[in-house]
Amino acid sequence: MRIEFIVPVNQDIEQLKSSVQENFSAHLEPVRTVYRTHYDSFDWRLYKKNSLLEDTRDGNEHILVWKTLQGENYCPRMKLREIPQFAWDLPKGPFRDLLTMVLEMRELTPRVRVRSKIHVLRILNKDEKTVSRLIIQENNLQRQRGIRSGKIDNRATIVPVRGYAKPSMEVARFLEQQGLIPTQDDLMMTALTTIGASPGDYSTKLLLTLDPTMRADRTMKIILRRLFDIMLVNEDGTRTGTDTEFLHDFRVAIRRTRSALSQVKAVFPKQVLDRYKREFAWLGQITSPGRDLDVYLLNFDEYRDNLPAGMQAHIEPMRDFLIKQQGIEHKALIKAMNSQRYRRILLHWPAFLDEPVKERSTLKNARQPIINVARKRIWRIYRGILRNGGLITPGTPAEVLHDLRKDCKKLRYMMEFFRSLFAEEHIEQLTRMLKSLQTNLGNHQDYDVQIKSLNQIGSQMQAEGNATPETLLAMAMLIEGLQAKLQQTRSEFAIQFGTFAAKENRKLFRKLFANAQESQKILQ
Amino acid sequence: MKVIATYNIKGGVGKTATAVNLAWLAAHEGAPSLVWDLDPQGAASYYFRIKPKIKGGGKRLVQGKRDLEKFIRGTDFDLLDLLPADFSYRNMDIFLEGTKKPSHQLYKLLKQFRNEYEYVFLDCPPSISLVSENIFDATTAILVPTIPTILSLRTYKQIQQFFKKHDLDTTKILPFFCMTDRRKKMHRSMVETPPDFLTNLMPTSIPYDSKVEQMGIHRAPLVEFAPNARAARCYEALWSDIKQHLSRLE
Repeated sequence: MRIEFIVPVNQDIEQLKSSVQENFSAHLEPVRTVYRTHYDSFDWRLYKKNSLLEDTRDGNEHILVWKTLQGENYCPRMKLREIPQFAWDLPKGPFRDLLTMVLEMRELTPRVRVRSKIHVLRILNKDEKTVSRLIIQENNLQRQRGIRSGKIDNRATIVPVRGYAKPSMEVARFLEQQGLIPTQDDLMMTALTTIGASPGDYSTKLLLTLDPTMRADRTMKIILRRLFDIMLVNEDGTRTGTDTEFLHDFRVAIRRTRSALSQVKAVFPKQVLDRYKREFAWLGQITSPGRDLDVYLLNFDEYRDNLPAGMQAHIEPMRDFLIKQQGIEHKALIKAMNSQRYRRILLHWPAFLDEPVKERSTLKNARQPIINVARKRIWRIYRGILRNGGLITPGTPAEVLHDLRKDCKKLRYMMEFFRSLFAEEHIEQLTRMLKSLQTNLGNHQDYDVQIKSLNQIGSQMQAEGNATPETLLAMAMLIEGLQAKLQQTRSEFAIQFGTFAAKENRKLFRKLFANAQESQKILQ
Repeated sequence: MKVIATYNIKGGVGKTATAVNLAWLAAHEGAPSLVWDLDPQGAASYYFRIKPKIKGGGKRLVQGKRDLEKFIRGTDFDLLDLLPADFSYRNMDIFLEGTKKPSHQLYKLLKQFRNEYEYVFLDCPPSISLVSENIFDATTAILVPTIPTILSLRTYKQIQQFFKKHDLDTTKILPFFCMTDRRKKMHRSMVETPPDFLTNLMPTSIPYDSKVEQMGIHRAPLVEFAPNARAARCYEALWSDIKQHLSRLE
C-alpha cells in the first residue's frame, strides 16, 4: 500500500532530497514535470462507484489509472497517446469494457488539472536493487475554465516494491521525523475541494424536503426553480452536443416542468400559466428530434447485432444517414437556443419563480397547503389510470396505450415532486410498481415509434438515393424484429397492469392519497 | 490473464532473454506482468537483481501448501514482478509427482493471479519432463526460440512429436528464430525459406547481438538499457507479433 505525506509549506524540497540521500542508499532519477488530470463523467459516475480516473501526461505519453478512493495497491492502468472522449474509444480489453459499463454513453470530463514536478528517489539494497520508491511532488493547480492557477499541497509518496516492505517502513519513519504529515486523502480529491467542486453533487432528482403546510403556489415555485436549475447546468453540454445525456437531462427537466404546470392547477395566474405552458411546449418541441436521433444512434449497435451476420454491413448507410440528420437537428437546436425567444424564457422564467408569492390570491389552490393539493391531484390521476387501463383489451388501438403511458408519466412526476410529503417506504413501494408498468408501456411506445420512424427513414434515404436494396432489406428485417417485440410487450401488458392495480396497491394508494383525514393529521 | 512460456529442450537458445525482455515490454505498455523463473539456474532472477531463493525450499510451494503470493518480488520496473527461482526446482518433477493431478498443478497455482496480472511469463528449464507437461497445460502460448541450425530444428521436431504423442494442442507452439547471424549462409536460407513444419512461425527473428549478453552486466532487460539495439527492436517487433497472434485466438 502506498504511504503518502503532505510536505509542509516551509519544507525545502532540495533539502528533503539531500537528507534522504544521506540516510539511505538512494538513486535520484532525473526530475520531470507531469500533468495530471482527474476525469469523471459530468454526473460523477466514477466517484459514485467509489473510484477515480487519473491521467498522467509525461511528454507525449498518457497513463490512465483507475484508482479506488481508498487507494488500493492494484489499479488497472493503460498507456495511451491521447485520452479519448468516450470509454468505448479506448483500446480493446477489460479496462475498456469495465469503464464503458460504468460510464456508458457519458463522455470523460476533465474535472481538475494539476502540474507536478516529480523527484523520484529509488531506495536501493546492497545488490543495487530498487526496494522502495520515494516520489516527491511539487504540485500546482493548473488554470482551467473559471479556475485560477495556484499552489496545492506538495506530497511525498512512498511506493513500496512488492516483497520488500521493510525499507518503505524505514523511509516512512524517517519522513515523519522530518515533520512530514501522513495523509489518506488523494491529491486529486484535495484539488477538487480546493477549486470548490463537490464530487457526486449532480443529480436529476429533486432532492427537496417540502413542508406539507406550505402554500401550494410557493411550493410549486420551489419545485420549478429546482427543475430550472437542472436545465441550466445541462445547457452548455446540450449546446456542445457530444455527450447525448446533457440533452436528455435538459429535456427531462423541461418535461417535468410542463407536467408541473399542467397538473397542479389553479396556483398560478392564467396569463403566466398560458405563456409558460406554450414556451415549455416549444422547448420540448425543439429538443425532440435531436433526442430521437441520439436514441437511434445509441441503440444502433444493438440493431445491427440483431441482424444476421451477412446483413449487418448493409445497415451501416443508415448510421451515416442518422449522423447526418443528427448534425442538421443539432444546428437547428443551437439556432433556437440562440433566439430571442429562448433568451427571454431564460430571463423571465427564473424572475417569475424568484418573485415572492402575493399574500392574497383569488386562485383556488394558491393558498392551500401543498399536501392537500398534491394528494387530490395524485389521487385523481391514479383513478384515471385505473379506469382507462382496465378498459384496455388485446384489440385496443396503440394510441390508447400511448395515452395511458402519458398518464403514468404524469403520476410518476407528481409522486417524485411530492415524495417528501409522504411516508418514504410507501411511496417507494408504489413507485416501484408504477415503474414496472411504465417500462412495459414505454417499451411498447418505443417499438411502435421506432417502426414508424424506420419506415420514414427508409423512404427518406430512398428519396435521397442513399439506400441500396440490401440496406432497405436490412431495415425491413429490423422492422420485423421490432414488430415481434411490440407484440410481446403488448401481450405482457395485462400482467403488468394487473400487478399495478392489485388490491394491496390500491389500498396503499387510497391510504396515501385519498384520505383527507391523513392530510389533516399532518397539518395539525 | 495470458500465460506465455519460453521453452526449449535445448539450453542457451535465449529463453530467459526472451522472457525477461517481453515481460518488460508488456509491463512498460501498462499490462501488469509476472515472470516465474522456473529454471533452477535462476538467470531471470539474476537479471532482475533478485535472490534466486525460496525460503523453505520450492517443494511445498509447488505443491500448493504455501502461499505463492508471499514469494513474489517487485522488480526495479513498474508493473513487473518476479517469482524467483530456487535451486530445489531441479527436483520439481518429484515435487509435482506428489500432487493430486501432477500435470495440472502449475495451472492450478497460476489461477489465483488471473485478476492481478495480464501476462505471466514462465521461464522454463531446458528439459522435457513432467514440468514441461505442466507448462503445456497451463499456458496460452509456448514460445520456442529456435536457432536456425539443423540440430535446433531437430529438437523442435521432438517437441512437436511429444505434443502429438500426448495429444496436446500443437497450435499453442509459437516458434521464432533467434540468435540469427546474417553472415552464416545456413541461417540466412532458413530464415528466408523456413521449413514447412514450423507452423505458426513468428515473422520476427531475433538477431545475434552481443548487447544481449550485456544484460548480465547491466542486470536489466536489453529493451530497457539499450532500447535502440538491433535485438531490442526485434524483441519489440516479436512482442507485437505475439500480441497479434493472441488477439486472433480470442
